[in-house]
Amino acid sequence: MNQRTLFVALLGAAALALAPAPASANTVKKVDPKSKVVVNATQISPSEWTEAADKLVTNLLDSEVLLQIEHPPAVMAISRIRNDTTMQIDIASLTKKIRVALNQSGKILTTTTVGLGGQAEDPLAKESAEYAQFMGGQKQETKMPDYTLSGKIQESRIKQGRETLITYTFQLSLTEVRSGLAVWEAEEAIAKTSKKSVVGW
Amino acid sequence: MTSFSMSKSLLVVSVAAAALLSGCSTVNTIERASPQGRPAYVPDRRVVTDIDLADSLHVFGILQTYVSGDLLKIEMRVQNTHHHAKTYRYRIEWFGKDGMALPSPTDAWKLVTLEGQETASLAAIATTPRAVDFVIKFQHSSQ
Repeated sequence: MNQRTLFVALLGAAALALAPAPASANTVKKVDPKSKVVVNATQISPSEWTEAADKLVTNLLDSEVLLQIEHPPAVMAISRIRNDTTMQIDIASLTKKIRVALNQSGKILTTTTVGLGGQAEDPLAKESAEYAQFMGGQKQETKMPDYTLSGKIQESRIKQGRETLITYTFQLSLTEVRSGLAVWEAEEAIAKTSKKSVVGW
Repeated sequence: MTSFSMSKSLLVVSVAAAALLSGCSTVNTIERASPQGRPAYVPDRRVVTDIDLADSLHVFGILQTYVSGDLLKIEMRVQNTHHHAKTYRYRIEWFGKDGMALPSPTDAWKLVTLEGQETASLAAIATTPRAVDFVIKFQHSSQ
């Protein structure tokens, strides 16, 4: 093989390596929000709910907040978690995972009989307690929350050419009822890009 | 210049251009010359079934501590040994004193993207005080 053939072969190999991958119709991939990669999709997948919940739970457990609980487990109620996105989403996808994790930790339990606007998550438990109190004449001990969990989910879209960068931001606050202070706050983001195909039907 | 040396020069230029265009992107860092912290890595046992992955993602070691009183926290120091950004998946399983796996509501494969030569710390906290051991799994990500 002479030098020229070798040169042409190497140049060809380099060209092949650099050639862009064939464009697919709609490509969707998830990215680390801190990465430079720009990515896709218009919904939050179950694994992304889990990932967001995991990061928020890790952040909460790593904080000193739970060490300040004098007599664990403390009681937490779920307050308003606002959906500021364009999607219809089930907020419980996020809060349930956080509740289960806190329950497992043994530091905080969630009340299901005290809810926002007086609405209990478990009305039967609340009614049963009231019925037992009425029939037995004994005052039932409904634990009032020591903490409340509130927050919101935001969405931002940035379009550039055929690509749209979509970022979902999860913001949560844990408020100590006694003082009214947010003793823990955290924010996590999921970023994706959506790429429109050149030819669309 | 002879045609051979010209071809050779062109070849060098082509390869350099290819390297530049292929998106080599590494991270420069600066830190304290004598770090005050002395990481005490826990002894670990590694099972490598993907040699390419083991070459690509270097795990310096695992640190452990307890947070919120009795919850096991681990932190891995990892490095992407490539000269371009790579995305990896990892998952952590927790085990109790009896060696049985403990379910976690946040158990899932997680993604991490590292720039070329970048080091990063990946932390996780067991959600139950019953967790005493752990297994960390790594995979290449196609994303």
